[in-house]
Amino acid sequence: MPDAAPAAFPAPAAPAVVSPVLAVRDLSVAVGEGLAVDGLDLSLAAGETHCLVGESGCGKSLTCLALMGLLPAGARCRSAGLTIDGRDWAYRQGRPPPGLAMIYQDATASLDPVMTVGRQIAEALPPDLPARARRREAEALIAQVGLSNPRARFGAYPHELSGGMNQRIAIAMALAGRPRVLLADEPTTALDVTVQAQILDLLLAVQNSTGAALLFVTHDLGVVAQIADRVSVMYCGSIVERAPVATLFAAPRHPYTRGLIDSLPQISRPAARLASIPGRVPAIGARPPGCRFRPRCDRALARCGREAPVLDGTGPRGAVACFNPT
Amino acid sequence: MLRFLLVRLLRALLTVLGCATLAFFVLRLSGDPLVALLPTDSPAELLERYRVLWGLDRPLPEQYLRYLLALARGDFGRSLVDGRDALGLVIERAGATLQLGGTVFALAILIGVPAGTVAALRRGRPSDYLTMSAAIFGYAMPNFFLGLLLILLFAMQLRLLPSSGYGTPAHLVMPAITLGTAVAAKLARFVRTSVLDVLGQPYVRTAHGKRLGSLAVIVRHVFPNAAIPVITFLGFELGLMIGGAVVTENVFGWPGIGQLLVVSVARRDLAVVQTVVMVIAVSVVSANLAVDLAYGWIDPRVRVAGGRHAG
Repeated sequence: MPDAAPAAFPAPAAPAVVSPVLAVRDLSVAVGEGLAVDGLDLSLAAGETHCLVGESGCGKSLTCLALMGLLPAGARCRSAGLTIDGRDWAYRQGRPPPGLAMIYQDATASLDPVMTVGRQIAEALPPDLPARARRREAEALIAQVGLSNPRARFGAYPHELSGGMNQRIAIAMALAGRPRVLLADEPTTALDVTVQAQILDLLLAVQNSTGAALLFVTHDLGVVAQIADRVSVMYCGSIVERAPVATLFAAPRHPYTRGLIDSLPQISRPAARLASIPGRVPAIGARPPGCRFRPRCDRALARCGREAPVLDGTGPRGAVACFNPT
Repeated sequence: MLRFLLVRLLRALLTVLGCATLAFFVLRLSGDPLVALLPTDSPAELLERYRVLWGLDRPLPEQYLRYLLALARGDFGRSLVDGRDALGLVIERAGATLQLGGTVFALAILIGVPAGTVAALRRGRPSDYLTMSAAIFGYAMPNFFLGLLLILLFAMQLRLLPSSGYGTPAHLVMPAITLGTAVAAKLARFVRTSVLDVLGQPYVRTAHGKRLGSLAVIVRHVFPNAAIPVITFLGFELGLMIGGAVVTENVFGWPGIGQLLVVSVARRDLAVVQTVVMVIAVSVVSANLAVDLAYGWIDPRVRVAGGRHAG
């Protein structure tokens, strides 16, 4: 992409990733009339766990699908460049970039009901592998994701396994492609709480052993606090704040982030009622001019109605898109 | 599984028996076979002799019981026209019908499955509209009319193909096209719907995410899932086709059981009509049974249900 010289774009949001394993600049996804994802910059370091947080409908899942080139029909996307492992990837929908693998929200629905899970894992292995090695590799992956008796599991169908087991299979399938970046789209939302914790542990373990970057999409700040290195908070298609996880929870700067954190129950803060953010996320066609959070914001200035803030700021406290941050 | 099969077989047997019973009574209540068989000016004593000879003088329930007992012995009765064994006569004709039916089925699958798949994959584009318009045309065209048009063009004008008869591949062409068009058209529409439905499923997205290539995704993931409803459809079609062949076989003088049925009904050849009806019933029932078994083979979820039957 010759017209996408890095200098033409704002410096990457802090803290700077030295040699990102994945970097996307100015990613936008259009659904119908509006932009569901609007000018998103993202870079992930190898081994990093990056959480993408936000309410439903803010564009988290579409961001993942756009990166994978798997957007649903009717959604269009453009970006100023996608770099994977230092190489520019000529970006096209319908062609997933090498080195990326995705774990989906509903594992059982994302597995083919009439093919054994073993074969589904095996077909995600690198294509040059001989047939006998494929089976062995697939069984090794089944063992790696913590399922007992991998030889028997190889021949199981998704309906014979539980939701948690299927999510393990989906993780094995994602690992089969030896990804540099794992995209996990709310992989624990559909599971029981106890199983959720197991799957989170498993994800972190496989990330540790493979050194892949993990982009973890969730709306659950509890999970974020548990697993994230860095966090990007999304609102209405844009990232409004990005910071290391400790900084974000200790000193959130964007009013939206603060609202999200304040709405969590806390042992140290007795409260009859949990705080909530007034109003609701505006629909794509009904977004206000200026800052999109302004109608729900208690710190809004006159300027917020006229101009949209951009994600800005380098330094240890992270980046924020706000004219009046705390 | 064994119990499941036994229950299905028993139900199939009852269905066939029901059809035979219906044919038996309708034939006898809808007119006197002797009037149709013997010359109109036959003397009354001759009519009476044949009536006694063929057992038609007995009360209906007795006739029916005798018929059932004979069936149990494997005796399907004899043709009233030439005294030949009815089952042998039908089996002799069944070969021709099977040949036509098999060709039609192969033709329908070879055309219908790719056409429907392409239409689904190119949804909303010109190739989709073109394929589906052709399918609606093929479906709406009555097959006897299409048959006559084909005879006019290929037999009368171009003199390329024989207008009727049986024996060479050339004889097969026009009846197969006539019958196959509608089946292929219906199949194409069905395959399109089914493939479209599967294409929207999350697991197809997952498969694309594995960088398999479009062809591999379609062959390994879309087809096996889309096949499940299509198999049901093919089972129904297989049954219908044997009945549907009646008209086409007559248009093209194809000596199958469809033609035999029409001729035998006109002559009130009781045993032959009953046997043809039974053979058609058996083929419809076995087509359905085959569909049920195919389900278990394709869809592992049904296999589990079958297993529970056995347990």
